[in-house]
Amino acid sequence: MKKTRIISALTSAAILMSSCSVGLPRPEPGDLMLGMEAAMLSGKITDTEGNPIEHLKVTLEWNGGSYQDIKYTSSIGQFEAGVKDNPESEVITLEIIIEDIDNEENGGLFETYTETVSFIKNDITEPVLTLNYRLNHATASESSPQS
Amino acid sequence: MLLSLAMAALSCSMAPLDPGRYDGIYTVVVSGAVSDKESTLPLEGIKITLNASEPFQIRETIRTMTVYTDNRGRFTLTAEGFTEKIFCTLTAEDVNSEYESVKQELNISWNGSSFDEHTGTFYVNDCDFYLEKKDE
Repeated sequence: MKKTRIISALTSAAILMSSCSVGLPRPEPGDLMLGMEAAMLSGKITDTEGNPIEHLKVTLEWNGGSYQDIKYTSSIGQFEAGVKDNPESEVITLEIIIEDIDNEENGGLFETYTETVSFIKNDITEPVLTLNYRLNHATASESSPQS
Repeated sequence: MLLSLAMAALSCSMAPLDPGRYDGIYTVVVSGAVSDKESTLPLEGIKITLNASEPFQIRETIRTMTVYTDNRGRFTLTAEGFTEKIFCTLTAEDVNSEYESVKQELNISWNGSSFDEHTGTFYVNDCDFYLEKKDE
């Protein structure tokens, strides 16, 4: 399944990190920020019944593949990534590929899902951008899981 | 399967709670990285499981949370809903069984320099694992 959408006004579900702690995560090389604020992307993936899916491989390709993150969903079906800025454009483009890599483990086999999302930078006002997905179950012939 | 055990001396203060300071549910955020012990290269897709026990003395697991390392070997794990100081075990496990598992233990009380008393969150950084390949 492949989908494209443009997000111009996003709401945040939660603030992942607050300030005022010596233990705050430090930015890593390559984690570019939007202006002076650290925008985060938080995704939640469930099956069609709303059950979170663990250990899905989520590939995030920023700005035409110039930077790639690979994340895996947690036991509550979530993944998080820092939003990578594109200083030469008003739009940040992200391709998301969600793959089931463990066959029948963790809730069964799911279809691979691909989506292109465009964020309009001037419209990003929240520290956390939230994306939610519901995956369909697949038969073995419909998906090509990787190990 | 061999299991190596490392004791993490991360904020082991056992001072009693001060309920006047923060009146809410406590959260712990643990972050770190997983590397190959020999090559020090980051390991992707390593399963990190946190088992939290509360109260500390009984060590009955009340919360389990699992995350996986990303393509830079990094992980961040958030567990919330605690009301007392907790004892945690953090296990790094290779789902492909190529590496030995490693366990770390954390005693967490809700005070100290890594505790954000405004949000009730305790941060544990640099909780790194170095995994050894299993014998052929």
